[in-house]
Amino acid sequence: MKTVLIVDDEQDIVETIKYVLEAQGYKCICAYDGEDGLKKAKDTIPDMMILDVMMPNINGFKISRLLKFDSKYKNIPIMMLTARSQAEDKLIGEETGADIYMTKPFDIEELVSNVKKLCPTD
Amino acid sequence: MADVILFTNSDEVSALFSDILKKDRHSAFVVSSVDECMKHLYSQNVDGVIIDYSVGEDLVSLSRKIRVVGKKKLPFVLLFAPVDYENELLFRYIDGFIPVNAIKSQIDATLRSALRIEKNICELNQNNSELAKNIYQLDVLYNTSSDFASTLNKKKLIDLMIQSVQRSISPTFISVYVKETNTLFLASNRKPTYRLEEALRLRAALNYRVVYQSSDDVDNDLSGLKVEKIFKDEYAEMDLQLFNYDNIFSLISLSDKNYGFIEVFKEADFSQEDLTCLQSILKQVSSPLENAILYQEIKDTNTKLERLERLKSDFISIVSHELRTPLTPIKNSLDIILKGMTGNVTEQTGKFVQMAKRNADRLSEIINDLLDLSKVEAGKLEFRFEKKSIVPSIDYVKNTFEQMAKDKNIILSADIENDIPLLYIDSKRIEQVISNIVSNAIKFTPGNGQVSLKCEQISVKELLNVDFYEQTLNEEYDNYVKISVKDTGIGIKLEDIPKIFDKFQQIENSLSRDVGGTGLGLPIAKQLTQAHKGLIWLESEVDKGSCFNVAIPVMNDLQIFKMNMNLALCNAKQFKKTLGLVMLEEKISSEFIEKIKEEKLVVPNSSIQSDEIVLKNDERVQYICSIQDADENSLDFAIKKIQGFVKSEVPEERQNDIMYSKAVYPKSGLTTEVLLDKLNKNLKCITE
Repeated sequence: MKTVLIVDDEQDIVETIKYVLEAQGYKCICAYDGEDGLKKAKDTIPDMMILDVMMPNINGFKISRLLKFDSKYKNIPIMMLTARSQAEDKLIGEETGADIYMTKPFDIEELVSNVKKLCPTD
Repeated sequence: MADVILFTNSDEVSALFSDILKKDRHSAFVVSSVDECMKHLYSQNVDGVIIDYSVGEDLVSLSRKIRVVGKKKLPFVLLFAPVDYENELLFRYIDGFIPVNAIKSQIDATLRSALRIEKNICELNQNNSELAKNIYQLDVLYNTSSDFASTLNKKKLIDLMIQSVQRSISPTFISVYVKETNTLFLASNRKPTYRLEEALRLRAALNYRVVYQSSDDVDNDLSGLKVEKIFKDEYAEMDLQLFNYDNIFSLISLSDKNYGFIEVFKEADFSQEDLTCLQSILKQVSSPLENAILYQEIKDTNTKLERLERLKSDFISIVSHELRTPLTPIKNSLDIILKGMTGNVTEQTGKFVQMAKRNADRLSEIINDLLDLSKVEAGKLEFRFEKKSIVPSIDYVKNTFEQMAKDKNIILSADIENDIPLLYIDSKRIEQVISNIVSNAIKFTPGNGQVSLKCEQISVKELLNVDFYEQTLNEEYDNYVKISVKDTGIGIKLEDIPKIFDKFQQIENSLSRDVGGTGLGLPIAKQLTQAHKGLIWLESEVDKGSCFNVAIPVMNDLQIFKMNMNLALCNAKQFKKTLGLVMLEEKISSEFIEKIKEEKLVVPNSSIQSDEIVLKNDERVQYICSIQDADENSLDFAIKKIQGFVKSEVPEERQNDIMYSKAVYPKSGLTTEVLLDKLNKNLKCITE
């Protein structure tokens, strides 16, 4: 069973994504802040990560960059969730690292299909 | 009146001259030795010396000494000797000769003449030195006025004022109180002692009370007074008894506004000219001082405004982010329920969940539109302008709405004229404009209606009679491309037409409730149109339909260049950057300007953002280049390179045909027009 690590400081968002992905046969690990997310990523090495960009302390882009530049973790596919503001658009251009971006609010069907693309169920 | 020394040993001689002198009320002082004579000369203001040749002293050396020593004046020297007295050397040092057997009236005449001449010479000298002083003071005033005019910096003005007061009236001490900053400036050559400083502080406080006693803004007793000492020699201290000094006190005021006061101290007396000079300096400084204070206020207000604007745009970004965040789980949860993932959904449940989802979607759209609109209004929306055809954009929009029109059985057509000229547009934004209008047209047209797009070229004359709401027709452009969207919809009431481009103004009627939409589509279309220097307006009749029109100007290269410059200036203003402009002009031909352009002597690096244009007429060719972030130094560097190129590549007889000019925002001007004007005015020969 494939594991997906969901990192977002909004608990409700994490819960809905978890509900939907578990229904599709994925195992979900949750983290509610960047540092915890980074730690869990390194400890569990998931098959895929869903990262929120705007989080306090350490944002999604930084986490993505840290993992992508580390040979141990660079193969974990990453999906970023952004609220599509101009500042974030700029950051996307500068600090790429993620494989897919989705803007909030997103369509859950689209999310599921993207997850299946990056990390197909066995 | 006059003071004359008689150097004689003879009583008769002494009596002779004393009588004559006393008759005219002069005083005669008789001496019988050189020492006595010199002593008297050192201590008194002597007008003249009469030497009796028979004293037997070394008269030559005595005469020379007299010439050197006079305390304030140059006393005359007369020799009393027989007619046949010979002494060539002595005669060189004396001013006159009284023969021994001259009669009284002759002696009288000679004395009077000598005294008169001496008096005139004295007056002349005095006048000369006063004149010299006046000229010096005028010179100081002249220089100060241009110095004062050259700065808007308050502190610098005060320094300049103190310097010019020092130069022109040479006081021992200057004390200046500036009300606005509650600062006392003490200026002198040497550092004041603590005691002196305290004395001056106290004096300033007393003056303050006197000056501001009757005004409303006396709010302190100088307890928070800051003292700034300006002095050259830090190692020597000076202390003085203020009451031993002459002083002038004056207010620093401009009409009814007072900025402070100044007091100057001098050990010797101040003259009337000194007072006049000081007053002139103070008059000169008041106006620049007021300007400096106003300038500071303007700068402070601007900084506050900029900070507020930045906060506002951050506010909008933050708010839209905060609004989108809870929307996400709302939509997701509703989707999860609707898909049946939580269990069976009854018809009733489904109906209300659908309603919630529809409105969540609508809220999402409103947030997007609001964000777009605020970005456009704040000038923060990034555009990508290009000279291209607008036709593909019209086709694109038509294709996008084919299905929506088909669903309502509405005929969607597009009639595009041939030979539509190229326009300077951001095609994505133009598509947004046309989409918003077409979307409205389809929404507000009942089934089986028609929506027709038309694209044609028109001249500015056809726009002269149109009523544009809150837009002005800029007669700079001769031709426009007009895109119209005509529908057979419900139309708009006459009194509602002016409000059509206002935010959230969905007109009240039964259809609009089902139609949805954010109410921001048309305001966004208007802002985007204006960003293209275009115009947007409509005609409408209730129950017949509406016709929305957008006109985009056809721009020539110069107009495009100016538009880009304006955009670059807005950008520079917002992010506090500079914009540099270089102009090269070549008489008659464009041979070398082309080369200069090719060799990239002005903008070498392709990653530097710049716009350029070449203008030609019968007499000359001009090349203008605007470079973002360029400042005086980088422009000078570029021009040096061009000069080197010209000197080596252009034949001598043609070198004077090439001229250059430069301008920098903000230093040389704040608008496109001013900067381009400066470029044309400041053309210089390359070989300078």
